[in-house]
Amino acid sequence: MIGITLIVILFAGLVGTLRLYEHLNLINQSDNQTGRIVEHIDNLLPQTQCGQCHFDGCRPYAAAIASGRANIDQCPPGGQHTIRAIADLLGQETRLPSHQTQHELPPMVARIDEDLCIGCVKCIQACPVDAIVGAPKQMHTVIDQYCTGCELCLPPCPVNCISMDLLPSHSPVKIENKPQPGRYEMPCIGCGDCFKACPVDLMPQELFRYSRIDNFLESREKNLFDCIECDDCSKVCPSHIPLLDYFKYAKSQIVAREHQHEQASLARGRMQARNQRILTNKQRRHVQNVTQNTADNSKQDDKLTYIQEAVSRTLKKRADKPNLYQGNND
Amino acid sequence: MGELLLIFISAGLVNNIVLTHMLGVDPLIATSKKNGAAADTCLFMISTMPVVTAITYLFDFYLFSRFIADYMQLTATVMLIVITVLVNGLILQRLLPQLFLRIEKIIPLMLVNSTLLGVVLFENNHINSFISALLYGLGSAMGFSLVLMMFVSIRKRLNHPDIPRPFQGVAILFITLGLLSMGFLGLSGITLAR
Repeated sequence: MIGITLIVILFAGLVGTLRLYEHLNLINQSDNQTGRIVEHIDNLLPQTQCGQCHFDGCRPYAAAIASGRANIDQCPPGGQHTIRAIADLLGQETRLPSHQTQHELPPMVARIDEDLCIGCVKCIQACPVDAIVGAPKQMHTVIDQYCTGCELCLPPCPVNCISMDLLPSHSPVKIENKPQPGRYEMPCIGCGDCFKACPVDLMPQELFRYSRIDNFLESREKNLFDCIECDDCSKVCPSHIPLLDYFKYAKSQIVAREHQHEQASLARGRMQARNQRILTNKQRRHVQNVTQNTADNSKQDDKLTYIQEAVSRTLKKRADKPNLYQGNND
Repeated sequence: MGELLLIFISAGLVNNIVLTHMLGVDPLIATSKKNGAAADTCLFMISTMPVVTAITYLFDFYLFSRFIADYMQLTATVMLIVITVLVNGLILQRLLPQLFLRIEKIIPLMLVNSTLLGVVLFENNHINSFISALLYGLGSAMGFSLVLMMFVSIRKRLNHPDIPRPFQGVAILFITLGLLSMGFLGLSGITLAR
């Protein structure tokens, strides 16, 4: 009997404490937390708004990932490192092999053949980041700086005058190739000769390890950018590892990613501005329509009163001259 | 005094909850990816485990073993653990809000965790006083934290080498854990010098 009472009391206590937690909002913050997670995922996405993930843009895709409706590997423009970053954020295992880098397409921009353009404004309406300037029946052109390479302007063009092009060479990003293991290159034996040779007291051995597996965050923390590229470490290396090539590769990748991140925040800003503009335009048009309608209505009211006045006036006239009609009737 | 010390060391190192009993491997592998998450788990364990073991000892000794039938004792213990963890969280929130902010994410995951339940169930074999229950819990939590922090650093080192394809991912983690476990086997048989 006491035992049953104890268990009932325990159960009541369990339910009670859970209720208390719910009441104090300590555990049930799931909505709030998913909101924050969406924000974090959105920050990692490239913001091309291209819809290649089959969602309307980067933000909806981020929301879909957060709620488990989408996989993390549906973003082609983001490439492999985006997948890895999202996997890190969500604590998922990356399915890609960590030691291979897939060949990724270089960043592209849209280019309008200005001789062919007929000025139909269809591409301007399609562009999610307002990177195309032009007016109806005027020539259009693309602003390279703002174009995200999403290819959304290609299908609407009626004369096929838009094509994708490589970024012009004056862009700040030049990506070095990852060194392929050469004929003489052997595994690092950890002898520490490179460390002794380095004139700026870096640890080339560690930097090499992190750069080789594309762990750029870590290699940056080990002061990769202090490297003066003197090439002393590669010369002393008994395993003939082209250390400098690896460092150059890592540096260019880091710079490229930072650039990409900047571009992404720029694109996000422009997309939000565009959406805001469309919204305000819509509202303004709505307000205009409403005022116009009321104006029309009042005009009609005027007309009605005018007619009624006229009718009443004629009726009055009739009342004044009854004889006239009576005479006719006779 | 010597016995208490022995209980502490035994719980932490000799009968380590992860490496000897192979309980709580899942939180170990799940949270050892990043320093921050691992530290949060350690804080949770150290702040909760002693309280849980002490309170379950009291309830078990004075109430459960006398009034509740054997087959219901496990259920009662599980419910008691959940209540204790939650109430402990509430108290921590009042006393140490900073600590609670760090561990609040882990609480739902750890409520009915094999680590806590395992420690509480193994406790019955060793313990004969309230103080020793407290020390047993503290020792287990410290042992778990030690292994977790070791594992975080090992996992960082595992990024470097070329691991053969079949061993990549979870496989190499389990192998590492097994090697660690064999290392801890060397600690068994510790006795107090008289």
